[in-house]
Amino acid sequence: MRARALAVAVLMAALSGCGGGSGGGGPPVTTGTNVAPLIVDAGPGGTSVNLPFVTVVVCVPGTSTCQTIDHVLLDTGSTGLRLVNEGLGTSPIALPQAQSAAGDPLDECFQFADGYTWGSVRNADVQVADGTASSVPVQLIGDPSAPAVPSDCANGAVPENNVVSFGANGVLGVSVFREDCGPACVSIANPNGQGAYYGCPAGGCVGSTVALVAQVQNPVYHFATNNNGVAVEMPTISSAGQLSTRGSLILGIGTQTNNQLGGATVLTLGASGEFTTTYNGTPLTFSFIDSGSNAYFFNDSTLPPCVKNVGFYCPARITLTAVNTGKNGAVSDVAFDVADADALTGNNPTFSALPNVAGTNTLTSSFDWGLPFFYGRRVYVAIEGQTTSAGLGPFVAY
Amino acid sequence: MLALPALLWCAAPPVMAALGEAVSSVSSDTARLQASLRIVGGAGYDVHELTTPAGTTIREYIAPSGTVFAVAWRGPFKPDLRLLLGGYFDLYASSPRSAGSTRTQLAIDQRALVVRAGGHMRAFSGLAWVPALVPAGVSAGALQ
Repeated sequence: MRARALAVAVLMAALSGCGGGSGGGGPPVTTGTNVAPLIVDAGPGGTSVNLPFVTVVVCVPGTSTCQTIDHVLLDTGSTGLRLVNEGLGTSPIALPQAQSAAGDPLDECFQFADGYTWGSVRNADVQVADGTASSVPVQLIGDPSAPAVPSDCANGAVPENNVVSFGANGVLGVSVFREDCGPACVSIANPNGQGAYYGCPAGGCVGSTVALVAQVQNPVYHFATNNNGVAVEMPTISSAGQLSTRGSLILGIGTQTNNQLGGATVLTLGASGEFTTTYNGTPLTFSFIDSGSNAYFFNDSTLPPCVKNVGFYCPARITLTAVNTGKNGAVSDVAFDVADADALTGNNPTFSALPNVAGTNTLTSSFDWGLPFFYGRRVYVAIEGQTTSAGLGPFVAY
Repeated sequence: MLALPALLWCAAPPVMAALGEAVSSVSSDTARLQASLRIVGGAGYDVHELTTPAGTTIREYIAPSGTVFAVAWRGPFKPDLRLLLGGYFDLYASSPRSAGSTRTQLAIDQRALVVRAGGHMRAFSGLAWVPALVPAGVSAGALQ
């Protein structure tokens, strides 16, 4: 996920959650018991732009003691459910803490490029639409009962442990991976001298290896059915943007009548979930599609920078083209529009769904296809090693 | 990846240094990083490349004067930046992040230190350099 702040008005009224029916964009295009509604609105922080939120239910494993949590960011770019303790309200559900192999309480430092979340690993039954993952590890961010942040976790970066810094009540990571860290954390307790998982007995936290199944899990992988991936579908929105819009998170790929791949182009992926986007003749070999990114992020020195929204582009609306190539050699031509981000936010400062927004990328070898790519599309994300009608994951398709 | 000639695998682990330090200063080394290392000769600078057991590749760019003027990383984990940035770590940690920085994009633009980094778990990469130490004719921002 890589939401970048855009200059919009603070909408505290949005704190009332997603129960209202006032959002624009019409009803979800797809219906079914395997469909969870998505809403793009101002979010818990009141300033979100182009972030899709979903509602999840978490339960104490094997019980009917549950809590419904709205405004969880639906993120195809990360893996696993992370709940912000502050977003659980005044009576947060008491989920049992997971243990390290040595029997100590298990905590996690989850790294971002310039930040981290610190909190306990807890086990929960996770429900999304008609899917239930039984007793899977999730992270409780900002858990007040967790020990102090280990110094090698921070590593000079910025903590993001509350709702405001996180911009959501949690994040549901439904990437192509089954678990967040992967094989490295199975064999290495403290990769590269920075923290990932820690066993935290009373005496202090120590880096810990963690088996794959004990790492924070992609809940979709653990559903009884529809466990090979998801599709994320957003409607086309007005060129001026909208106050909000609604979309669908559809569980499964090719498993029901409402999640068939049809003629979608399948792009298989590399080890970090990457494919190649060729833009202006340059192959960008670490490119990806990410619902948790709120704009297209790529570099083009010919596009004029914004004055107000620094880091974004502000051209008169222009149509650009790029070519996406999967590891399987599949090729997809993409045309996309970039418009003036200052004008879009300035003309309608309360809008939370804005098309055609793009900004610079700190990585020169990456094109990040954020939520604007999803408007008017259905994007499939197939989990590694899982069987689909188009072969094994990992792949993305659209 | 850069197309660099003259790969040399080293029999004995050569010395690595942190950003801004002389390559002979032995402030950090392959043992502490538990990393394998190779040396690549380039135009106008040398590159020491390490791959850690966790799979992250670290490159240290060394000017003809013997000073590390840039460091780069790519892999499933961020490197130990305290070790890699050396005396510049405190500046890295305390510097305001430039506009456009996010959870997954990081930009720092100080007179003494420039950083461009990004990514997410399983796929981090970045580049840090000291503008005053960059050899003439080298475009630091284009290093990878």
